[in-house]
Amino acid sequence: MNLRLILTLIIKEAELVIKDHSILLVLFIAPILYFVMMGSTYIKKDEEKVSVGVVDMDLTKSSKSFLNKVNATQKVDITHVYNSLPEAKIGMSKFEIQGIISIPRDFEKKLKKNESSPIGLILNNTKFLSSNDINKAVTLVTMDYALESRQKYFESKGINPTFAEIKANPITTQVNGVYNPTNNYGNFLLPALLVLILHQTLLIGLSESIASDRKKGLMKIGFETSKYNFLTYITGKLGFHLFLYSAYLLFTFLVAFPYFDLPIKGDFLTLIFVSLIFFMATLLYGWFISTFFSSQAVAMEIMAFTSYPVFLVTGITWSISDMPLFLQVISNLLPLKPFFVFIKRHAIMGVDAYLYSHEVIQLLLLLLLGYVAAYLRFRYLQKKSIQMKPMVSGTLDQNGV
Amino acid sequence: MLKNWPVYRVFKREMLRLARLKSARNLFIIIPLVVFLLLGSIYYKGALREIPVAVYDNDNSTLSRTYIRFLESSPNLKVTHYLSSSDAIENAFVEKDVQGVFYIPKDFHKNILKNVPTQIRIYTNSTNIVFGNLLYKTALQVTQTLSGAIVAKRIAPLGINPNKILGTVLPININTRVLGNPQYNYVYYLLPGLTTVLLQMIIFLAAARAFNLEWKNNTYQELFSLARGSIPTMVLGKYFAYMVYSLGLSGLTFAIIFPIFGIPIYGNIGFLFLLLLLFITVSIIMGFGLSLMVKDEIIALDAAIFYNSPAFVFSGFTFPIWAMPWPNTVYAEIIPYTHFLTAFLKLYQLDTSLNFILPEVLKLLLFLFCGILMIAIGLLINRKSIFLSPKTAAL
Repeated sequence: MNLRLILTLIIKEAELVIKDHSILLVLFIAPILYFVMMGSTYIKKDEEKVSVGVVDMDLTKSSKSFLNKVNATQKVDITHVYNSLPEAKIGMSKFEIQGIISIPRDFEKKLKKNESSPIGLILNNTKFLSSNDINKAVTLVTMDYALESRQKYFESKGINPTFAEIKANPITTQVNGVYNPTNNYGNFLLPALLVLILHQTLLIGLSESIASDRKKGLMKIGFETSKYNFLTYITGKLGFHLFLYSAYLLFTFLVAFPYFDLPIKGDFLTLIFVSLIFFMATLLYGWFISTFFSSQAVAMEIMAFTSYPVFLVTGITWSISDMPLFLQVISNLLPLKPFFVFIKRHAIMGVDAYLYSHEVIQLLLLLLLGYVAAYLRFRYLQKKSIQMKPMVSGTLDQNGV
Repeated sequence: MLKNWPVYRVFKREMLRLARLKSARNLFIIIPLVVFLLLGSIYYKGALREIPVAVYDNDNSTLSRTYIRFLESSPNLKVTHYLSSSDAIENAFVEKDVQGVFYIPKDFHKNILKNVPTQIRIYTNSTNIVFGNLLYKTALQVTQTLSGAIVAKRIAPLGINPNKILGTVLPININTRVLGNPQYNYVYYLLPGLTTVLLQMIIFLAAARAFNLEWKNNTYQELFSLARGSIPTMVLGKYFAYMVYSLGLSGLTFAIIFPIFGIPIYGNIGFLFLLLLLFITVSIIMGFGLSLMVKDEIIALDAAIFYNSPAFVFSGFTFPIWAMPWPNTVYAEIIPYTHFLTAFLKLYQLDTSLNFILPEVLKLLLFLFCGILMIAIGLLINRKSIFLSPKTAAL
């Protein structure tokens, strides 16, 4: 490894990035803009006041009181009152409301007679989040009614109110959402989303740079500059990106995480160290894959479409064990998967080091795998470039510069 | 006669050009096949069942075991570990790989018999809210069922009319009817959204290189001559070719991917087709506009990726638009996908009639107008490259 040559290669890469508007945009504008755009989308962390319509056929004090209780919950907002169910269904078809609560006639009468009063709940389940929130809110209100009714019954039998209350609710539950107490969407998605933005912009920018190198014949020049030393070449070529993304990394953990109120419970140095391993593995993977692209446009197109599958296959929204075996294998070969688990355990949960050591080892193994793959590819491309006719090589050199 | 029609000649040329273009092959065939199948495979099981949970039974009584049996009988849960100390709870999520821990306190049974309030504590790993929500729902259901049964047993000897026990224990009964995706199936929920957002992105990206690539490859003169110097002919010819490719892609999505994963289409196919035609047209025309405005195809691609990539997040599909800050809601409004998605969900899952999607159709038409405006601006900006003199055209 020659430090002077590495520095030359780093400067060359920086020049390439600065001269190419597209790469410049991807590496310098896109991460910040996406951080702002995507991050701010979830800044409220959770939804509130989901629109619900009501059809109150009973129109009594009890039905109004029930609806008021539902409306008082944080997640539900009764925005529309309809005269009939067909009318309400029209409202739902227009997406004015996400759910309908329908109270039948004799609701109050049945309640007073201690008979079970059915109410209708129609949910628009095309979007899970809102549908779940309405369902939860209405269920909780009906549970309150159940407790009240039982308590009243015991009181009617001469049991004192405090004792009646205990008798009415023999088992209570306390559900603690550990590591995300309010079970909100923002805390669940944001840490992974911020990492994904860095991952994807890094890959797109790098693939564009390498495709541009290949197209202009600059890759051979890079090889020559490094004197065909793999470590010198790869450190020089990727060093600029690693340096830049280390800065983004600090920005993410020192600015974005606190801004979006995301916890970093674990040790900061460990976080940075493991993140650097992750970025190095990603860069080697990225370099290896990108050397198969000879067109900047094709590289961009393909890399842009990897965002969704790469994100979802890591198991961030779905259990990996519930995926087919081939996807489990793919998932475990991506540095993003162990890194997400590490972030979750180290930063969000703050567990002891031995509980994420497996992920750190996996990242190191993937770094090694990336290194071997990149090395073999380098030797192959080197062999290929040497076999090229000197005249062609000379022409490329001139054009390339 | 058709052969001599300039629009047809441009169309035919464009069909062949796209077939030869590696980028078009990637966008219209390879990427959708790989990505759509992969995305569908992730959620192929559809619903989450048997979420692994641990139980710490500190009572070990008949009632606590009944409670555990209730948990085990729920299709949503699978008790995989029994903890023996409260210290283990903290690390159980990671060490035992469970998503929830149920803690039954000491003297649980005794306290219930003595009418002393007792509480079951449930810890959910809410770093993933999908598990968190399901556990919350199930835990509440199981506990309320047992609690209700105990109350019913307590009420019975007090001389209640048996017909009124249910009304006293559970005075309000919810009859829930779920529209759209009654199976709560994740493939049915996510895959249509993901495939259609990628559909827009693919079409937009391909169309964003429709004209600037001609300039880059020095083939524009040939196109200009073939269209006899008529810009509408060029645009129309290309539009039909892109439409054919886009319909092929839609066919792949709705006729192959959907059936493979068993995704039902509740709505009218004809209405859906009309909506798709409009959506595809908007994407193509806006892509053309960008292609004519930005001569550098790479910068045009950058802009297209930049504009389309966040479409899914902003569409309100997984997180509602009303919960976003206002600048984000504005951005959501200026992406055609947001409006297409609303109309698509109305037609395809709620099976509504066409008049319900009128507001979204009007908005998509507005986008179409914007696309045409973009084309006009492109013609104005790059008029020297677009309107060739007869001499240049002949060359």
